Amino acid sequence: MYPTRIKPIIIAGGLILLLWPGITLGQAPPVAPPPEEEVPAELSEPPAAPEPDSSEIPAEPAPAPAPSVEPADKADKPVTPPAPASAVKKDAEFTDAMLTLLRGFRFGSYGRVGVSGDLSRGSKAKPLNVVTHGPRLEESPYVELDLGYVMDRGDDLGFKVQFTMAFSEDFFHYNGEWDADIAIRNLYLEAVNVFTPALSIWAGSRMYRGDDIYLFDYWPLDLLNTLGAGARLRFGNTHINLHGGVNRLKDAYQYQKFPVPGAKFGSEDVEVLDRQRAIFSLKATHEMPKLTDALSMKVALYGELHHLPDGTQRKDLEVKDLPSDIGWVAGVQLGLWDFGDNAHLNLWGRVAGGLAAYGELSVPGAVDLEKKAADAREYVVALSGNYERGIFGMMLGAYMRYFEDADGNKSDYDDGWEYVLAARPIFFIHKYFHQAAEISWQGRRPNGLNPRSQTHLVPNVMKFSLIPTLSWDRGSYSRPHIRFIYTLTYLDEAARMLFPKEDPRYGESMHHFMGVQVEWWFNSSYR
Amino acid sequence: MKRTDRDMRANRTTTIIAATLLTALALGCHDPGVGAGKGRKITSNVQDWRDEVIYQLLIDRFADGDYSNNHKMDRSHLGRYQGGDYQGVIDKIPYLKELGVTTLWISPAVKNLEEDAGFAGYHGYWTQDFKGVNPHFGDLAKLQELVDTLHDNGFKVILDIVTNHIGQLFYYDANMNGQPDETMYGGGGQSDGSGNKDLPGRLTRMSEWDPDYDRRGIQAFTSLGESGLSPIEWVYMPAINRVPVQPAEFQNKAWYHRRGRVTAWEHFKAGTTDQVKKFCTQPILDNNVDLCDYVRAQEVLGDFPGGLKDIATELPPVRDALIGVFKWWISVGDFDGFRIDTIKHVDYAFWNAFAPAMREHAAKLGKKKFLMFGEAFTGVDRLLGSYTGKYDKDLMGSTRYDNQVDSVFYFSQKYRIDSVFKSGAPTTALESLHKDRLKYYRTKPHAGGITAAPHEALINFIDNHDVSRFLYGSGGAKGFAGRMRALQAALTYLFTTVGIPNIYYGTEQNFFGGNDPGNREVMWRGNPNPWAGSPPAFDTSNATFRHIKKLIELRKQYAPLRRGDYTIRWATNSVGSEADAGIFAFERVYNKERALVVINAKACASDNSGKVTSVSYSNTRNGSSTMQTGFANGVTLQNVYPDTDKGDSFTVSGGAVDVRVPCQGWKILVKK
Repeated sequence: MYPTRIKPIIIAGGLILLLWPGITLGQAPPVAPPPEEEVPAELSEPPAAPEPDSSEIPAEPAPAPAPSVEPADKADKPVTPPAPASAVKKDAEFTDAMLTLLRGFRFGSYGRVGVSGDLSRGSKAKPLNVVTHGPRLEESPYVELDLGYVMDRGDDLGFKVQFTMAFSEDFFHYNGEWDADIAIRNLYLEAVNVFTPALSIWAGSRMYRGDDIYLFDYWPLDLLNTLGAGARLRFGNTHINLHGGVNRLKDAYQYQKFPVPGAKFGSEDVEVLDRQRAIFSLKATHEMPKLTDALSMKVALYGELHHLPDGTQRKDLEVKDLPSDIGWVAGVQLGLWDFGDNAHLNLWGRVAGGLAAYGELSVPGAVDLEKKAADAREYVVALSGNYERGIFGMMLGAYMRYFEDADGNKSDYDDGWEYVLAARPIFFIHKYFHQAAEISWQGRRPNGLNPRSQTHLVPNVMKFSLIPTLSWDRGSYSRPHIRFIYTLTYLDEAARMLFPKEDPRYGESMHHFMGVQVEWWFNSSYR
Repeated sequence: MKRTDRDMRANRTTTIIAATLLTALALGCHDPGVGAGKGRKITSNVQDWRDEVIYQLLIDRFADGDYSNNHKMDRSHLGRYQGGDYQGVIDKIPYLKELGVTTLWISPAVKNLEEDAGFAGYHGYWTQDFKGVNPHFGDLAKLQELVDTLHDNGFKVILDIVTNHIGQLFYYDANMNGQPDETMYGGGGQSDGSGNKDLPGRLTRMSEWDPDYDRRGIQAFTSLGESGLSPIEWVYMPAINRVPVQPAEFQNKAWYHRRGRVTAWEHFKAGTTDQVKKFCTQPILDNNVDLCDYVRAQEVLGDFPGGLKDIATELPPVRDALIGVFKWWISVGDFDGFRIDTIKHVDYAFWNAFAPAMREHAAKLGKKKFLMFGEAFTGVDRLLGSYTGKYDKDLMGSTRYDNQVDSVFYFSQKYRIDSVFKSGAPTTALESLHKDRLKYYRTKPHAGGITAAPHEALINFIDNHDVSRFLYGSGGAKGFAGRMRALQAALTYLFTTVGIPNIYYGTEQNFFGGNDPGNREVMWRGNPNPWAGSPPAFDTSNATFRHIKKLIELRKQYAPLRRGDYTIRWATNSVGSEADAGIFAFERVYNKERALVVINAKACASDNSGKVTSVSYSNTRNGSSTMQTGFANGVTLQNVYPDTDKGDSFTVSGGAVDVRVPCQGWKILVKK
């Protein structure tokens, strides 16, 4: 053990190093962006928006995207609470449990694979959403493989190596192409019991996030993907999570290789733009377990700061100066649990500005006349919950989001509201067989005219799904699943008009989704 | 004080460290001589330029001595890089010494646009970086090594330079769409009322790379009509080094005339070309050539064909920048002279500033007699001579621009040589040439320049990289053998007449290429011509090589052949069976030493293959008239070349001498 008197010094020094604004870890290749959000572009984006020149700041914004990555936090229920509230509750225990029970090599995974048809054209059924994060039943295949190794010395310093590799569609057996989209999501080392059981630190590439809305595969408050480092401090029932990291997207907004005449012959590429976005986050969570016999509660405050240094972009002989820019996020979360079996309820509020309004893995879709994203705003309120009693269970998810991009036009198509509400009642007919249904409604109210129709469209989509499921155990979050899905989707006229006329979906208000899916999680990396 | 072992060890260590540091410092500070005036001893290497024999070579075509710089070669096509380099020239110095030439004129060294329209910039005339070195040939250190090695071996070095234009590095964005359109179509407003009086009628199409000349400057236009002066846009294509010109000050768009490609040339005669007839109606020159201000303006202000953008050399900052560039080349290169490309496309005022500036700078560095000769691709002596500083009011206007270059490429003579020796024209054509030389070329040396006056230091040539080789095409000569005999006679004239002989690489190997790039053969491949016997590359045994070598030896041996005053003793209009048919004779005197050269330009009778069927002879007499000579009566003249005629001797009688010379033969006579 370390001499007690030097512990605070080392801890303080380490924290200063970790949090010093000038320190950025890693000059590694850019973090591969997460899989594209599976909201169909036809529904969620202004189809007529011009394709921005890749070497310039996009002149027109992306359609109010919120950060979105594929889920990876679906842990096996006995080990990792499926619902975020439970996860928070057991988070500290998890660390201890990890060190005492899961020493050495461990393997985990999250995955979902399925096949579907639209019952009309023989096509693969496609997700039909008009919001950024719609119901997830129609999501495409995605797999994470978690490899870890735990080095534990009881209550002394311990380490955990975490490596998460992710694959997204399509698979060889579907398209016959011998390749795959692979991303390394986690690759970090975490130290626990760092001079004190209250402190753990980590460094590397990490998905860094809180609680989600399972039904939408959406983290409404905190979701960061960076190369960086962080620390977690625990004071009783209060947790402080600090994080600083960077990304440098392979996008002309942050990175550009530019050909210049070679020293002798031909040309050579020079990195004329290489600006890392530095992202700092702070989350303080206070838990109040067993506030009553049937209620536990937590409150979390969250904030992010983003900074992008200035840079220079080149196009042929044109030199374009890109100013430095910033972004910020402020948010709050209220979590309740213990009011039933697997019961929880999370409420979120989030405000983001500047760069952060677009998410850390996106570039501003629109900027102001100073080429900054300062005026961009995102407001989110969201809800997620689960309740189970006897043979009945109910999952809920909902959010409202208002987005304004950074250009001066507040009445354009890229600005506006989106909202979605979904409920999934489940009947646990048998311990291993559940009959679930899901009903949802989603809509969008852009501030501006639809660029295709030149009318003000307020599209709405309603879905109803039946989901007979073979499950490992009783419970909404019990996995693995084999589930059959039938979904009937209704698109109102405004929603249909989002499609080009040539798209078969343009003329159809009722759409079918029939498929079979499997989903699992066990020992999956979590936060 | 007692020195302990420890002290001594310490001292040794200190010494070692100090030595190591000093060595490192010395290595770190090692100056290989790259850079202006650093570590390079610049000296005068020339006594009298008239003693020199210039050998012109294209670096890319002469010898490949360094495979590491063989980039983007295409040895199947002469329009592309072939791989020659500075090291190759160094390697072939023994060959050049064997031939006997004394000065090398090397093609431009500056960094070029790599390629344009499928052709490569192997020749060096497409400047992209005035101070960069074309990496295909080596780096600056290798160029310096070449110059130093040549100097060490007694050679002088002339660098080819271009001040008139840069490579095709920008385009005229006439339709203002921001891209270079190979072809854009007009019509509409581009009818007769378009305003382009240089292209009367409808302008229906143009290339934004290389549009035709417009005296107003290239105009922007669409199908609706004109829209003022066209913008120009630098191109950025680094893979082929098509990037803005360097140094960066040359990127100033106001430094270019922007009038488009020259379409009318000075040698068009009024009435023979509608284009010129309309606008060039005022003949101002004699010599049966019509020049006018307009046409000259096109030449001076227009882009050189191929989209080579014309520099506004009349602007003082441009002039100063160019002067600075080429001062730098003298400093770093230790060159003994410049061959200046496209001199007649640059205004006289520029040369009047440039030439003395170069002389002064070279002299300041320790190099006197810095030679500058210009290339004016014209057979018009009056025009050629004006660039040697012969003041010509009609051409120059009221300002006396007489401080021009030391010499010019003697194009008018080249054409006469072709016509006399190859096509059978009377030798009086050479006589009139001589008269024009005295009339149109400056007859006094330039102050601070070479010691010889321009009119006696013209650059005599038969072949060069811009014209078909002498052996290409019949030109009236029968068969390759006939042309070979004509070449021998012409070379005799070239090496013995007044001026500085210049041999284009490959002439000594009987290369026979046609127009560019056919005349830019690869030296190391040898002569593929079966009629030439397919000699090996760098052959030193063929007749032409031996002939040139011998002529150079004679020049060294007999000073009058290099420096002597020049008096034509016999020229004739006779080209048939007359006694003096084809005879051209001249005497040269230097320091009372005298040589008489008699050449018979008349073609021998031959069959169609050129094989001689009978040898005819001509004499330096016609009827009762016999050639007068400056040699004293009773003096016996001994023929020194060809060797087979060494027994020939002629005695002067009555101030005259009758010399008998076989067809396409010659005699070089000195006092016995």
